[in-house]
Amino acid sequence: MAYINIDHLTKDYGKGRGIFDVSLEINKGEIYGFVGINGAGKTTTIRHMMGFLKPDEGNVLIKGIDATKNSAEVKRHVSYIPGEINFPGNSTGEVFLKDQIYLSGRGSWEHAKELSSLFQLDVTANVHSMSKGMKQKTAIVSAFASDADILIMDEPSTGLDPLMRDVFLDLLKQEKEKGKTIFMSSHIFQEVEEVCDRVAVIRQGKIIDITDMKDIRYNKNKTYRMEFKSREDFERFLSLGYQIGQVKAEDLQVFAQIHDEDINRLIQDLKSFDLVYFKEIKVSFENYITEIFKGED
Amino acid sequence: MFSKPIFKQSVQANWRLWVIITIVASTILSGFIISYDATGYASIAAAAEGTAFSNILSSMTSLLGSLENFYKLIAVILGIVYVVFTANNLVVNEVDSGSMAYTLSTPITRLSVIFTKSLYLILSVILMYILISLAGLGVSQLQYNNVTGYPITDDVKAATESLNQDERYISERLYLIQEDEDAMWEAAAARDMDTDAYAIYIQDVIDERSYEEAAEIITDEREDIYEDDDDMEDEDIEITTEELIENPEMILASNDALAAGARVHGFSVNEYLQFITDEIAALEAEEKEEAEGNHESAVIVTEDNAELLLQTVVDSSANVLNVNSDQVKDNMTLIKEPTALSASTEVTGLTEEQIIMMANHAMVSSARSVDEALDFDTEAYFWLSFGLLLLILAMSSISFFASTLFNRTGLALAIGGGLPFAFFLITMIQQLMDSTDSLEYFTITSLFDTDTILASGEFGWRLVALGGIALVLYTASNAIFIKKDLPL
Repeated sequence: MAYINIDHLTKDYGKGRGIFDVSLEINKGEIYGFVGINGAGKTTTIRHMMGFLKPDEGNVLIKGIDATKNSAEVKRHVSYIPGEINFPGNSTGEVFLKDQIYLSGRGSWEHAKELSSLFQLDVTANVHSMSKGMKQKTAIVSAFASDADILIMDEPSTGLDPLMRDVFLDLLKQEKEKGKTIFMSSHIFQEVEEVCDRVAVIRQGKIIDITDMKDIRYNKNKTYRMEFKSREDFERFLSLGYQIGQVKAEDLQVFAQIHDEDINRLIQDLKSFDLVYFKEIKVSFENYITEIFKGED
Repeated sequence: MFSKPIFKQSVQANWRLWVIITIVASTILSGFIISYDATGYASIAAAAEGTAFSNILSSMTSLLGSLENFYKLIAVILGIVYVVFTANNLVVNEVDSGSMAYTLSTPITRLSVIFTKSLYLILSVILMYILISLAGLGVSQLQYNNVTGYPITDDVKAATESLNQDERYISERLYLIQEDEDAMWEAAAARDMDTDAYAIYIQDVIDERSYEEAAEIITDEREDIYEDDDDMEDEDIEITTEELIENPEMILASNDALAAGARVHGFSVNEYLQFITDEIAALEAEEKEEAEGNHESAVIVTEDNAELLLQTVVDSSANVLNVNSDQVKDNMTLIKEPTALSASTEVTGLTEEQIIMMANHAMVSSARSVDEALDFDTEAYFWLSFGLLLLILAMSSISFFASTLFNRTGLALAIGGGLPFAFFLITMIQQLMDSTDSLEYFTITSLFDTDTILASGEFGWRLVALGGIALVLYTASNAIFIKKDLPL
């Protein structure tokens, strides 16, 4: 059984809003990305995982515990960064962090201090006078300092500058190495591509795709684009039996899909051709998503 | 169910308003008590006696009655301010801003969160109103010594100086004043009486107190006797001071009552026994006299004409002495001036003794009204304070309910603050205009009926209803919060 099991989760707010039949399985030790545009249902799904919302149908099991019926028990294993951050109380970041460590019964102030200096966070500031970025950093420090097995985060990198985002992504990788399971929503594709093991795409409340990032990152089938100088060469290449994608006959251009095992053969073959250019077409996660959305429309 | 950290957080977030409201309410209550004008209230009561207002005023003429505006308006609006803001702060504000997410992302159950927050609001309201009540009690005791023991009136203060004794000591042993001529003189002057009138007054006070103490002991004894008798109502068991004054024989049956009565007089039990026997004889003689209708003078003073006669005497005295009637009313001893007396006898046809008796009686009864006005009815005070507490708890339950039901601060404030405030406004309109009985059914403040409490009427079920409202709404709030969707 998966570490986190979201099973046919449905919450219908009417007029097509809500989430419908969402099923996800998140394994121990993976970083799971959850991607979608604003209003797609990311936050609604996460609120169900935290037990804040009660599903119309389906359920969420975290470590086998029902997240709705037994949400307090679930939180023995979970840390959370909400999408919209506002801290309780009216004192300093330090007081807040210590309170959270005390309330959750996990983690240590020492760890929180280390994380604070990592993020260059001033914990002596009042939680209400903090800037958006500071609040975000405080929330991140709080979530990681509490040393939970599972981290559930709703767009955790919003408000961070690029430098801090890198620090954050590095931290995610380290936590993953420690065996933590991380579920994060995001609409920034680069960061998802950089850290996530798997990504689910949600659109209008429905899961439209679940991708293993290895398939994108370490895709052994690569696409090469080439243009030939003469029509004979162009015709001859097409007859060689490579897997051909797109063909632009008038420009004498070919998109060939070549498995890494066949790359040497291709290079040998190409020696006898007169080429204008030859290049690999990079498949980024962003392109991939765009393609998926195009397909949906 | 109870979470200490949540409770601590609630205290930290809300103690400031609590302290401010507690201090303000205590100060205002103390101000009301200190500035209470016993003489003024007594004279209003005297003026209204026999008129249609006397019933309404009877509850107003005591110290507690004068606090009506505090209990009906000031304490209520201050309480509303506290509960509305605190209830809002405790729940909906945290949900709306999202800070509740942090509390609920820890292994604390929703039940424990909402239960602890309800408990904070309930306990803080209870503590607030206990402190306010204690402040009132303390101030009244400091100012009038009327909470424990007998009020220290001006005459007691004056006599104390002359006797070189402790005020409290003398207030419990008024016979010491009687025994000392100087003390009598000083005491009489302090109460604007001559020594003749004051002697009657102080004898009156001592007599009544001795009956009062005796009546209490007899009632206690009867309670023991009839403890298991279901047929006896509390009212039947209780012997009031008035009943005892009419039938002093009852004292003779109880040694403890005799001892208590004797102590007030400074008598030995045997002396007191003789005193009571004399009283019984005097009562019988009085009855006989009334039955025979033996009267020396031509004009008889009865209840019906006393007022008019007194007014005539006052006017004619004023006329002769060349002062105005109010001055005579303020200082009734003027009636006893020889010139005034002769003028009065001429006008009214009363004998001089009758007029002197009348003047004495008038002075004594006005002094007694002042004493009565200073009386502190501990039981009524307890029920007033308790009723007020229940009312505020009921108000707090409305605010708390709205605070848990809604996810938006604005809506919660509109309902949870608007409703209690509307109740308050209705009460204010009721206080300003007297004949608005129909409004009574639109506000829960009617369930805290100060008039009925002061008049020792049937107020129990109303207070039970207030408690019921609070219980139901707090329970519902807890149930809702456990089940609801939270946008965190």
